[in-house]
Amino acid sequence: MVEASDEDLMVAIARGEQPAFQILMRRYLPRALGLARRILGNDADAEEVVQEALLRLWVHAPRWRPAAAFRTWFYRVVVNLCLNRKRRAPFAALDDVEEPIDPGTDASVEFETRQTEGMLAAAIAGLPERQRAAIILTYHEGLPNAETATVLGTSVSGVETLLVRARRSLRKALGPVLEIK
Amino acid sequence: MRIARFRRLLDTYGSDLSRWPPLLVQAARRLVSTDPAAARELAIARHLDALIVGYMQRGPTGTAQARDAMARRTLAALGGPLPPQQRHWMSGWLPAVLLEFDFAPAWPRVAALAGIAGLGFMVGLSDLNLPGVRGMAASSGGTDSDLSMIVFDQDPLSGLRP
Repeated sequence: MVEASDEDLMVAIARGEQPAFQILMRRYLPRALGLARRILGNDADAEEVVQEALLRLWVHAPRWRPAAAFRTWFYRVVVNLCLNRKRRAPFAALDDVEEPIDPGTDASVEFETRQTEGMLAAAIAGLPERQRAAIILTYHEGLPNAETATVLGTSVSGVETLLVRARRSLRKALGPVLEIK
Repeated sequence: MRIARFRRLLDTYGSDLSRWPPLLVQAARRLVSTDPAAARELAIARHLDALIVGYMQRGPTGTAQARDAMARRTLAALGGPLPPQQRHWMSGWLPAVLLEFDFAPAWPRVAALAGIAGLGFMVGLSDLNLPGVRGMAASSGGTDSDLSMIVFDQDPLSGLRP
């Protein structure tokens, strides 16, 4: 059962097998939390969205049909819940928890790196939600544009437009940093 | 391929040429090898992509403990009895795409649209014999008494309405 594919597990879940649900849940929980956290910007909303997505997975499993890969379908559920959600907590850039400085690195280089990441975090936080979702699905999940389009419920050209606008915004925000290299 | 189009393609597909449409890759490589400005644009795009990938790989929060705590809380919330699965008799043919949509906010608009559409069909198919309409029909010389007579003008030759 542990090595079963996502689709095989969904068939088992559709029969009401809770162990299969536990396996699939643990398999996708970290990535779903990461995806939701990056789109919504706070832990509380991300946890609620992922809980809701997993509950929907369980409740509606008997109706699921493998028209697309399970991953694509599940990410679509998570992303739609994120985009439809009214944020109760403000979006916060994800570098709000400082990690200790590695004593082996040059302090000035470390400082410059953190400053750049802070600028990038702020720029990503400032993107419209769908552009941010497109960037996250492309860079965090490594999805091709066609799969990102399915997850976002739009066309490939729609995704390309989102990515063009997002990349231009990020490039504009990081302009001097990018030019130096 | 010109530099402006190359810049647009970099914004569309990123700096990894393996993600580009195959038909464009050769032209892009040729431009980069011959145009220093294109090579510079590619370098900037690669730098941006590297920064974004590095940022994304740091994880959803700053520490592994925080990520583990999020996962434990989510698992704990789902550890109790699960709700019943939906096995409605129509579930065999309802498309799975319905699962991911939250219809709640759309129901008022959908109902209003359905009501207006239904009203439009009723008006179009009914023969409304309203007093005001009969008066207008009489004054215009027409014999129609349905609502269409106030929508369409009479044909000047035949006196008929569409």
